[in-house]
Amino acid sequence: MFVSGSMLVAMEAGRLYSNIFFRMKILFLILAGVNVLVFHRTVYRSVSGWDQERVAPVRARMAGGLSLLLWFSILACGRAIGYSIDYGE
Amino acid sequence: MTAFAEWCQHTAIAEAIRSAPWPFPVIEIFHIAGMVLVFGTVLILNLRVFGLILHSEPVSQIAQDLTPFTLTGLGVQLVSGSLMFMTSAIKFTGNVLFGIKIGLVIAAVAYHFGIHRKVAIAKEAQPNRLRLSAAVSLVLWASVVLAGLGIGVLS
Repeated sequence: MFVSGSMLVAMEAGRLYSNIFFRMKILFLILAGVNVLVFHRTVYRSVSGWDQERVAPVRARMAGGLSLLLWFSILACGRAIGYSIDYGE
Repeated sequence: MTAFAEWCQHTAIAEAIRSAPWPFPVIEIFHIAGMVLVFGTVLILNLRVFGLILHSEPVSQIAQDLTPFTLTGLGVQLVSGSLMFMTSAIKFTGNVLFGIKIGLVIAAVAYHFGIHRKVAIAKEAQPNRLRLSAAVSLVLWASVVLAGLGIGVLS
């Protein structure tokens, strides 16, 4: 996705830069990355303590919920870019 | 068929979706999210069948646990897909790719619940048959995704 996405951006870089959905998508992608980083540096450090639990600790579940929300938003913004940009002019 | 398409396209709900530029893309986003749920859960099951992930979990357990999620995704796709069809029913009825996709969806759903899932949760182990079944399942669902993408890009 990074490789194919970079190629798509390279084709329409000028138009994409000013597109609100493109900006939101990049923001959500960065936030999704930060979410993973925070998860690994905090609650995941003690994973051996809750590895076999039926339900993970609340902070882990929050990270999971936030991740799903962010990725749905990334999908939505991605689709919206396709509708809000005139390609090939 | 044409009469049915005409009727679909003139229902109040189809007119409402066409009345503004945003409803169709929003429905489409949910259709893609449903696809992610269906293809994602099928992929997890099949990666396990190929022995690539979740080695300590029985295949039958994974198949059973994933079923409600696959069904939820299919439900979302059925509702959103029907709404998108109704919006431009006449155009879709004449689209060859749309016809192919509906055929593939019916084949993939029938195969998943009629054959693949049954082989996966069967009491007696049939590893070779199950791996073959997983490969068929992935090819069918990938074809559905590609045909769907083709409809979106070409229409």
